[in-house]
Amino acid sequence: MVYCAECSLGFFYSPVKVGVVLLSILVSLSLLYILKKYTIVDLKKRLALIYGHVFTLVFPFVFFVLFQGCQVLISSCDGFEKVISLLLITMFISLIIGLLVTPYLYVSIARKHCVRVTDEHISRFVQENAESLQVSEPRVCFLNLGKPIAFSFKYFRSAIFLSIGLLDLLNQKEREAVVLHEMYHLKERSSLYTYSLRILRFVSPLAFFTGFEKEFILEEQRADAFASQMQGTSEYVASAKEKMDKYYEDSVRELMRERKKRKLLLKD
Amino acid sequence: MKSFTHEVTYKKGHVICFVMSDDDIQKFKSVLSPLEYGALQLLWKYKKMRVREICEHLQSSRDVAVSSVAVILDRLHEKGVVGRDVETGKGGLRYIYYPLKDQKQFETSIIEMSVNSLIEKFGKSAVSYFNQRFSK
Ligand SMILES: [Zn+2]
Repeated sequence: MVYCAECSLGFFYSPVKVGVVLLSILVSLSLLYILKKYTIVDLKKRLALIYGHVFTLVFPFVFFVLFQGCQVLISSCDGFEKVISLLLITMFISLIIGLLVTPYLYVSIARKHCVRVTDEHISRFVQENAESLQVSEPRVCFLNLGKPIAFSFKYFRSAIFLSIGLLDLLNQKEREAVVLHEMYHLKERSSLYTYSLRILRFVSPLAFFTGFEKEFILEEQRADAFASQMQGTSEYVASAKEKMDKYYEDSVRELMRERKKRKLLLKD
Repeated sequence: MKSFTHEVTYKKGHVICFVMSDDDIQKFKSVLSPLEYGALQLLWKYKKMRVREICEHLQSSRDVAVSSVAVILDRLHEKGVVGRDVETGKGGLRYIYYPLKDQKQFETSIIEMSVNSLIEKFGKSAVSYFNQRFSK
């Protein structure tokens, strides 16, 4: 064990490795800073930020541990090829860890957005359907957000998240359709899986996982089909979807208009 | 004031009439869309309203979807023009919107914004112009 004093320090003598580690930590901290400083309402962007933060935070540690392991086994891991393959393995492990940790962080952040109120109609509806579907009754959490958002999650106890903006947009039957859609996800225990897919979808450098995209869409279609089947009509699933799509179309148009107006303001 | 646009709405036996002058429209045109202006006017008049109520009022004079109204209100909320609370009614949970600024305060903030952007863009020239203009 005498040689180890040198070999473990060897990591810090390599400017490339130290550079990678420092850069990764720096990116991680700046992502955390953005997350804390700006109240980003868009949950998708938030998800991407959390994922980026976890990934870049885990990366240097995994890299260091792998390097040490490599040193013990092969005794020299400074070759270009070895460093590259170490980096690739590190990336893969960090990716997996990120996928596992991000949902947990995401849910704990989402819970902070919840309002302490209940909707009697929705509570009753969820309770009744949980019984007939033989799933544990999920907690319903209402997000204090104007954008129409619905998602579900199973982490210890399952929960359905609905934004107040969603309730503003939909009528009672359409809300039920959305709840049924989410209960399908909970019933199929697919939430962790779809979450991982969702993360991959929004972290653009990982766009090569395009095979997942298709699976994601199929999963959504199955959830819609389930809701339609339970309601005996696809009318409400369709109209809820249409309204949500229209909301996002309109908000894009609105942002474009505001940007244009801001430019015109000075010319006037 | 050149002309008037009268928008008369008959709803549940009540006659709701609001008058929007061309001057008003011109004044707000650079910052507000007609839909935003319509929503704000209703909020100034009725103080507290739900998305659905605002939408129903607006629908009497134009073809407008709930989602468009919801977008407008969320944007106005983000910009600090309107506030909102979560309310429990018989239709379930919903937002209730209210204006944070009255029409006068709102106008002042637009003027302030325009002046600030002019000073930002033209610096000293803008400031000396204002001095010259208002010292008269
Ligand atoms: Zn879904």
